Amino acid sequence: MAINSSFSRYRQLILTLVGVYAAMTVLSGINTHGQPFRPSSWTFDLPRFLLEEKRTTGPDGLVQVTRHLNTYNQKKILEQAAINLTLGVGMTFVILTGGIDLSVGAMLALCNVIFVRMLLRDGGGGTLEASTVLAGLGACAAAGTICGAANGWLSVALQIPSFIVTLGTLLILRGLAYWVSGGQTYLRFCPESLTNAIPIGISVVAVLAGTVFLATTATGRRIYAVGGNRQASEYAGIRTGRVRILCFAFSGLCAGLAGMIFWSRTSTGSYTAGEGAELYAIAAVVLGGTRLAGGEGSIGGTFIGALIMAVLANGLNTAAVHELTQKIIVGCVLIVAAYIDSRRGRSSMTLVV
Amino acid sequence: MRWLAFLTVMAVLSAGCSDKGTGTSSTQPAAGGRPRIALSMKSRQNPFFARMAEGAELKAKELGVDLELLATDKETDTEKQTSQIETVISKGVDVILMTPVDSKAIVAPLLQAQARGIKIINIDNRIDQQAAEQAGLKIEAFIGPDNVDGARKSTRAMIEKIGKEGGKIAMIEGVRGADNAEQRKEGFNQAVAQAKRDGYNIEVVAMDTGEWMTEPAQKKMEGILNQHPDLKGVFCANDMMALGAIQAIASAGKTGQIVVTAYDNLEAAQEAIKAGKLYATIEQHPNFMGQLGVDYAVRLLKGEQIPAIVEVPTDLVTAAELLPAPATAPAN
Repeated sequence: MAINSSFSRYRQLILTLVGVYAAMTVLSGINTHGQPFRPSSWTFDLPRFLLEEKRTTGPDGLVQVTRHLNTYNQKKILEQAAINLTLGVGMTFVILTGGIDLSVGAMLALCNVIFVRMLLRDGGGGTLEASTVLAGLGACAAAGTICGAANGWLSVALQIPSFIVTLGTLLILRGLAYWVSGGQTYLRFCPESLTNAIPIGISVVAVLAGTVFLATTATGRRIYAVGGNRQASEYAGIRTGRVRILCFAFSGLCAGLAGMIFWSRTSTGSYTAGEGAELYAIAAVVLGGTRLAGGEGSIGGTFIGALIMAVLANGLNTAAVHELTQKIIVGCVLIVAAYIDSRRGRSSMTLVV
Repeated sequence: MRWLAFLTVMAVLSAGCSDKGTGTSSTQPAAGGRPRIALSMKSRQNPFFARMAEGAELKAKELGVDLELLATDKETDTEKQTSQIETVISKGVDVILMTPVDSKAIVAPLLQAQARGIKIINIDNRIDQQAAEQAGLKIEAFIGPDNVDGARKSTRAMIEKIGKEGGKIAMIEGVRGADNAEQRKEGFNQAVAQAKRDGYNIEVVAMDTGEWMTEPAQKKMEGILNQHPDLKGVFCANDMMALGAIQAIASAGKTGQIVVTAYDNLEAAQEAIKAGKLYATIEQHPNFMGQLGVDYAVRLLKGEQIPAIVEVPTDLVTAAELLPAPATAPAN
């Protein structure tokens, strides 16, 4: 198979990302001085999304104001994108086969709670041993993979549409997370050395692993085939059930790792973690040009899609836009992106199995 | 698409021009030296926080403060609040006024703020003190309602209204584990114990959570009424849940037979009191909390001493004393 037209597809996505980035930079410079968003009260100030000011008092008593690239914020955008990105990578696999996984948010919560409980086994005090974190990582990955595989098995063996199966497991897993946590919030501080490393490390590894797997392995090609035409793939001798279960298991694995990222972001384990996260993950996948019916799409697209959403969210926060106005804007961007994508047509995308 | 690329280039260029090399030096801070304060709230859909924001904005205008309001769109979204704190850190405010979604989860992002020299004042929902201490987070002040006292007053009013002969009562709690939910439960329990000592023949038959929200509370109340049709009274830990309980009572045809008291004094609750469906609620003066928050933040920046804990008194509101909420803060 060939996805040789992928560059032109990415070019559009990258331009969109750049455009959103620029728009957020400009928007964050509009200072409304605490007033509601009325044009009459606007003044243009430092675009804090991109720049920051440092004030130092010189030896002559004058205050020096220097402007720098706001590296803190740029790093934070990546951290804020991490959960959505990791979930999105797993979701891309499932959507490529023509399925959907609505349970990733609940899986995230369950794994998040299990992870922090594992960390607290040493009593909660003292420094966090690397072995404890690794054991927790293993537990997260295992729990997520098992839940995901269960989703896949229910969908394949019992022939229930994945939309229904994962809607059911969404509720089941959220309830389980509540029981595992006893309804309380667990706290175990994430060491400073890990607050960047975990979200960025895990999401980058997920993206790379997903991309390489889809592009280079035989199973990766079969995933496209199954999503493109399940019956034809079956006639071609592909065990479609196995491929689909594998994709759900991978989505579960990603959700489990996202549960660990949630801890690194908030230092807590809570059954309320990741509520509604599945919808944002699906949005990132679709924004990235993956077809909901399956068979077409890429991890690279999801990567840019998730970044667009993170840049948008961060920029709107920086510009202090009301949280409900933010929802309206994000919704509009999604629909416009989908419209542009549909107008492009699908003829440029060649799919050869 | 080209113009977007152009815009970015312009933005990056403007960044380059004013980078440290040229070092624009001036004696005046860019924003005219106005203190920058961020008020991070749980949500704005709950009118409680809308009033808190109103109070804070009023004071900010008076004192010449750049106030930024932040809120999550869901009262349980800890990750979103973390992101918002990161954003204000990156923008560089002087003080964060914090009402945490989760009293533990907020400690880690606030530590980052502290490391960048931002001062923190806690409002309403108290930050977990053990967690803050363990992490070395310094909270300059806590401004909050006396939840235990408010819940005690509300519960006592309900029990007194039922009368000495008593009967079955219930409580609909907030999100379990949340500080204020636990404190209101504590207030309820204290009031019940006290009433029993005073000879009221009451029995608590149900305590369940309505998660602060109307619809879940309505379902829980329907369940309670199903099991205990002879229920005499219920205390709801906030007004939103009381509105659900009232609905459940109405659909069971028991309006007027069950005494409902609540907490928060929302406008909808006042209407319900006037209509005789709700007996009493608790005014916690969220606007004072907002005003005090901004006031203390400014004093803190001037280097003045501020009290470590301020408990804003609560007031019982019934049909008899239903007055519009006072608009100004008391002298402190």
